Amino acid sequence: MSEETPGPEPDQPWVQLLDRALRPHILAYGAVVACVMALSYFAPADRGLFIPIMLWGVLVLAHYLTVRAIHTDPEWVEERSETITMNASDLSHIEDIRERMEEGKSESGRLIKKPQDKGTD
Amino acid sequence: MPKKEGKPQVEWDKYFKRYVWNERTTPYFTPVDKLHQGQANSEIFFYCLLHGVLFCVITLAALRGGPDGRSLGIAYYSFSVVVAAVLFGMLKNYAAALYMSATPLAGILYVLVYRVAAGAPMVDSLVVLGILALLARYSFRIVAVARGYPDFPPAPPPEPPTFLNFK
Repeated sequence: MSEETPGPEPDQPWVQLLDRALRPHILAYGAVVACVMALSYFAPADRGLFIPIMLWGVLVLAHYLTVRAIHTDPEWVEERSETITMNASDLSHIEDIRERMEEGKSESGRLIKKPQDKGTD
Repeated sequence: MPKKEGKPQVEWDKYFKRYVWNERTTPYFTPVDKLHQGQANSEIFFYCLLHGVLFCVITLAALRGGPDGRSLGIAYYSFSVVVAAVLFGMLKNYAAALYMSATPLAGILYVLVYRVAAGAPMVDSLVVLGILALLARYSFRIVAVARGYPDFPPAPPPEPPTFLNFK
């Protein structure tokens, strides 16, 4: 497959923003968590700010995974898709999809009978 | 087709290897240097699933308040372990594996400080300490798996399905 894997281009503004904001985001999160933990040690609260901190942590994790996904090596993607294809139980179905993609047919194109099939009727 | 005499022979070892224990999905007795990435993926997935679910429960329990009262410190630590489990499971991150491997030590410290020192029943504490010691021993293996993962050979393609060949 010679085509490049579709995905966000690294020079798009929002991708650059996500990329540049990752390190400050993680640092800010760590600093705030440290401050909140120190605060809860000296002035114990009921639940403190745990729920907002937890939700923010999920966002930081999603941010990190998104940036990692954007910068995935295309060779790794190629190897991975090959591995999944080879390990698939329904390899013939996947080969069928690949052939139809190479021929430029849509999913509904499978229902159309080929010319040589008509002759058997 | 002539009827067979006697009880039907069930090949337990075959079913055991297929559904319960096999070298592809449960390679716990395979040396680390002989693993391939498929086996390592299975082992890491189960380890992360176990830690993720367990520490989600511990986070909720620490927030709601357990036998020792509510503890925000334990809740924060448990949540960080859940995040590490996600990172290790998805990215096979070595630092996340190291962080997760310290959880049995944290558990042993908790039992020694809050259970044994507080006069909890000794037998219960010893059982929990024994389980945590086994987990600590297993942590060495999982760290070795995480360190060697990039160099493991790729998983061989699976054998063709055998359910079509039943006799």
